[in-house]
Amino acid sequence: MKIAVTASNNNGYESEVNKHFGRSPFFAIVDTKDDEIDLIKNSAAQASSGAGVQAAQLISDQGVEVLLSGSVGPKAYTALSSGDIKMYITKDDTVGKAVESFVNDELSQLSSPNGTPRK
Amino acid sequence: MKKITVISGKGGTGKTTLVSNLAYLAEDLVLADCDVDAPNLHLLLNPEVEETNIFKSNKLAVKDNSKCVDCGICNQVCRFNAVSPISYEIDPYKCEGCGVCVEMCPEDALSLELMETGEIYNSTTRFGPMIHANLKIGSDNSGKLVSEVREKAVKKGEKLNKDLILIDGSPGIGCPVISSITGVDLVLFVTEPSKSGFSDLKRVAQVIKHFNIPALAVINKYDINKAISQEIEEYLEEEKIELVGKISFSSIVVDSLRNAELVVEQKKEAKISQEIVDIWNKIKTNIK
Amino acid sequence: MKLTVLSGKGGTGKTTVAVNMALSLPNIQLLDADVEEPNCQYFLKPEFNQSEEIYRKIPEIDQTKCTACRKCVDFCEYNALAMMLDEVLVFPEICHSCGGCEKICPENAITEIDRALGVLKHSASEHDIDFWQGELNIGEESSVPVIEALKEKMDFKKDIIIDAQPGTTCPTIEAVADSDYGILVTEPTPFGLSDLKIASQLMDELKIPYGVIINRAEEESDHIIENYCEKNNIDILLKIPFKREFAYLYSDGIPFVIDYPEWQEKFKTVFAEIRGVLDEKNYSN
Repeated sequence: MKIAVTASNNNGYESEVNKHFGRSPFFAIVDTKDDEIDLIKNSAAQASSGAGVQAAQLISDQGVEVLLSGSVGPKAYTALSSGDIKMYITKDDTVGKAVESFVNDELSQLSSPNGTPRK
Repeated sequence: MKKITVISGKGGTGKTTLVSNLAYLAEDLVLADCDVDAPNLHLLLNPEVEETNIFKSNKLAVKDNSKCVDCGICNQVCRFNAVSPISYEIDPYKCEGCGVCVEMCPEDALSLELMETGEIYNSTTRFGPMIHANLKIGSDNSGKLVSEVREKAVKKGEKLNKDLILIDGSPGIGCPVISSITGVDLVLFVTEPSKSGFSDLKRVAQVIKHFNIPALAVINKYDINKAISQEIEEYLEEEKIELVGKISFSSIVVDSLRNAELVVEQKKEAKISQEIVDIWNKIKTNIK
Repeated sequence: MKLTVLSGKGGTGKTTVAVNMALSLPNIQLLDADVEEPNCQYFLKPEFNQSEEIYRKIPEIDQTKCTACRKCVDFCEYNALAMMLDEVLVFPEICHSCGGCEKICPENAITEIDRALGVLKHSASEHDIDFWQGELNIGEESSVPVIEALKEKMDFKKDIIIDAQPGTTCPTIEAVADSDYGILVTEPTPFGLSDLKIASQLMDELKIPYGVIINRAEEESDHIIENYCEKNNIDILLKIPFKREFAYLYSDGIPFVIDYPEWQEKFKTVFAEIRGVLDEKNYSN
C-alpha cells in the first residue's frame, strides 16, 4: 500500500517529518510493496486558502491509503476521511522512523482533527 | 521554545505597547508582528531590516486590451462588481481573482496573474530578531501573510535556539487572528474596561475558544471604569482565563509613547512599570 | 452629503466621532459598517425594529449527475472543492461565491444555494437617528457583501455618516469608496501617525477629499500629527482633548455630546466646514 508522510525536506528516508499537514513542503510517498520512496513537492504549501484541502487532493490522487503526520486541520481531516485515507499521528523525527513505527503498529490513529487550521 | 500571542479583539487597548515593554523585560527573544495591515511594533522597537522578501499571494484578472472586443461578458459574470460597465476595466480592489471572467471571455483577453501583495522583513532589534510585514493597501488575504510571518519567526527561533517567540497578534476576530494564534502555547488577551472593549473581548474569545489554547488576560486602563473592569473579571473567571494584571491608566505611558520610549526602561520606578513587571513574572510562571 | 469616518488604526475614536457627530446634527442617517464588531450600538442603545438576513451563494453538487470529470475542482481558485472517491466535496467556509463552478460544470450537476452571511438591523433610535447596523456572522470571512447591502439602505434625503472598519483593507475601502468626504480619526502617538499615513495614502488613491480629527489630543503630543498634516496640506477639522471624564463616558457607552452639549456646536462647525470644502470643490470643477 502507499503511505504518505509529511516531510520538511527532500532527503529520502532521512527526510525530517514535518509537524503539520496542509503546508508541509514535501510528502514522502512510500510504497510498502517494494519500499520505493518518492519525495513530491506539496503545491498546496503556496495556496492562499484551503491548503489542507489541496494537500488532501494531492495525496489522494497519488493513491495514498495512509497518512502519517504531526497534525491535520479540520478541512483536511474531512477531505481525507471522505477519501478513506487513514491518518496516524507520529512524533518520529525522520520519515524512515515514522514508517517503521507505523508498520510496527506503534502509532495511534486520528479520530478527529487535532491540528488547528492555519490559512 | 515557547510561543505567546497577544491579542485584543478591539484595537487601541494597548496590545502593541505592552508587547514592546514585555520584549524589554524578556531580554532575548524572537518577535513577530502579525498585524500586517497596520503594523506598529516597529515604532517602539526600531528594527533594522536585514532582508526583505516580496510576498505574492493574490491573483488578479488582467486584461489584454488588444484582444478585448467590448462584449461586456466579463462585467456580466463578475460577482464582485470588479469590472466597470463601459470601459470594462478591472478594479484591483474589488477583483478576487476567481477566474470566472477569464473562463467566460470569448476572446481570451483575460488572464489571472499573481500579484505582489506585500513585503516580509527579516530584522533585528536590540532584544532579538523580529519578523514583520506590510500588506499593500487594498490587498486581502492577510491570513496567509500572517502565517508566513509566524513560520519565519519560528524558523528563526529554532535556528538561534531562542526560548521565546512573542507575537503581536492581528486585531479583529477573523482569519488573521486565527492565523496569529494557531499552534501557540499561550494567548494573552489585552482588554480595556469599556462596553465595546468587553464586547469585542467576548467575541474574539469565543472565536478562539475551541482551539483550546491556555489563555491569560490583562485589563489595561482598568481604573477608567472600575465597574466594567469588575464585570470583565467575572467573565474571565467563568471562562477560566487567568487575570494576570490590571494596569492603571498612567500619564507616564502617554509621555513614553509620545517619545517612542519603553516605560519599563525609562521609568523603572513608576508604579506602571512595576505592574508590567508583575505581569511578565506571571506570564513566565505560566510558560514554564 | 455622504461622510465616512475611518482610521488606519483601531481604537482611535472612529465610533466616538461618528456617533457624537450624528447626535449633533439634524436629519442624519448613521450606518455602522464595522460589520465584524459593530460598536455604535453601545452608544445609541437602539431598539431594532427591522432586520434583514444577508446571504451568499455556495455550490450544491447533484452527485447523481456528476461524472467526476473534476472540471469544478480544477477551476476553483480557493480549494473550496475536492474530489474524493469520485464524489465532490464542498468547503463553504473558503468558497468565495464566485459562481464559477456552476458555470463550468458540463453536466449541470451544480446548483447554487443560499448560505447565511450576515444581517442588517435597523432602528430609529430615541435620539431620532435613522440607524442601520451591519453584522457579519462569526466564521464568515467576507465583510464586503454585507457592507454593499448596508449601503443600499442609504437614504439620500438625509446626510449620511458611515462608521467604517478600522484599517485600510477591502471592507474599509468598500465603505468609503463612493463617499463625498472622509474623516480620518487619529491619536497623537507614533502609532496614530503611522496609521494615519496609510489611511491618507488610501484616500489620495481613491481621490476622495478628507480631513483629520485628532482624538485624545494633548498639547505636548499633538505636534506629532500637526506637523504631518501641515506638511501635506491636510485639514485638521477638530481636536477632541483627552479628558478622563470623556474616557469614562465612552467606556459606559454614553456619547459625550449629551453631557457636554457645547460639543454639539463644534461638530456642527466641522460639518459646515466640510460642506464648504465640498461646495468649493464642486464650484471649481
